[in-house]
Amino acid sequence: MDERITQRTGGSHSRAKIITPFNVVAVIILAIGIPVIIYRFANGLGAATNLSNTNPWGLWIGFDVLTGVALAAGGYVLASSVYLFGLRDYYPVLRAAILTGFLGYFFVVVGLLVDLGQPWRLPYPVFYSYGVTSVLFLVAWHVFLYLTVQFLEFSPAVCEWLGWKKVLRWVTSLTIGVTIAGVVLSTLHQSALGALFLMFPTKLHPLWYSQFIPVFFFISSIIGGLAMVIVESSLSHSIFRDRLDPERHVDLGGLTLGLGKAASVVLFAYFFLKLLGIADGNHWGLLNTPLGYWFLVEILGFILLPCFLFAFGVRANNVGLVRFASILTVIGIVINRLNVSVVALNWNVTNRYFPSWMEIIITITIITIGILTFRWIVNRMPVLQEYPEFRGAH
Amino acid sequence: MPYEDIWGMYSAKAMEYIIAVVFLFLFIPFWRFVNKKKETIQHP
Repeated sequence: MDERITQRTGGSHSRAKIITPFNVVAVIILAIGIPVIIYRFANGLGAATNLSNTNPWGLWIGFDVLTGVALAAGGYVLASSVYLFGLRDYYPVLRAAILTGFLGYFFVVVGLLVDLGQPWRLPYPVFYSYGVTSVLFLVAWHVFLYLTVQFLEFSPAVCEWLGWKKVLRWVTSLTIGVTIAGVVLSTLHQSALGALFLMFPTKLHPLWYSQFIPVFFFISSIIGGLAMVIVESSLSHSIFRDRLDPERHVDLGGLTLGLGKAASVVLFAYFFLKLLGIADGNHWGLLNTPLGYWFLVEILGFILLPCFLFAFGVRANNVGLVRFASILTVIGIVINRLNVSVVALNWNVTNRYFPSWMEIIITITIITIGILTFRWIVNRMPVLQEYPEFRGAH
Repeated sequence: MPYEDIWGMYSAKAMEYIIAVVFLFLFIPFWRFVNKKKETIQHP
């Protein structure tokens, strides 16, 4: 089996280029980041972060968890499009989207572990201590279940790689059920992450606080997922072009335009929903304040602008413009989640939070490990290509 | 309840309805715009 796997992966080819600029940078990041992670676990949050009782949530929750979950939404968005709505044309980018989603969630859990400490307590809400009245209990169960679902969604690629035909038949038969479970769980927990902030009506700035915040989180996760699939598929089809199936032509430009059209329509609706959020609290006057200007930058520069860029790009068949709009949208999602969890949270206290260098380096380390894992899997498993013996088996 | 407060409450609600109606009216041309591909002129 090992020989077959090596043949499929072109093992000698991938081993030929070990010293590349990316690998050098990755090694430097890991050489600094891993000792810092050990330091954080050995000495606690107080020694490694600028978190405090006033500001208990910082970069790791805002970026690693909230942003990571939103940008990992491409998995359920694409899986439901392909398997439930029958848009089979998008199958060539589906496995990469599911892998991005799975790894995104996996490293969300890693980020959460670094934030929480005491990793042995991670299974508590699932197996030992049921805090059924807590939103965090809901989030813990959703992440646990959805991570399992995403592993099942990606497992056909693992089975094909290992040549496990019987197991492949079994996991393929679960596809529709697993996809439905994935959509249900994603809908619930994307909005549940927003619902966490319903508990802070006085701590969260009124422009970001709204009774619609669970809806904002869910709708924006669809946008983040679509944009992330465009960015990720463009990058992976460029970086891993030797992994693409030469016998199967993929119209990546056409798929990008289709995804861009969907993103523009959802962004359009999302923009008006954000306006409804302001109208609901009648907070128009707050727009003329420093944080109000920042809110306007978020909704005009990172929601309305990419919305029109997507629309113009799709209409003019300009794939480059759609890709640029996707990058802008991904940045917008990052800004939104950091605004909600860091910038606009505790906006009225004097002791404002800014992440320490160790928090930043740990975040960069986790992202680097995620990218290295993605590359390791794509270089070995049928993510961007299909093995001839399994063509048409799914 | 003072007269101004009643109107204040209604104006907030009215704004929500206005936003919803404006969205619906703008969504139609936006949808048409996104779905209409630019015709490319083909030269012989």
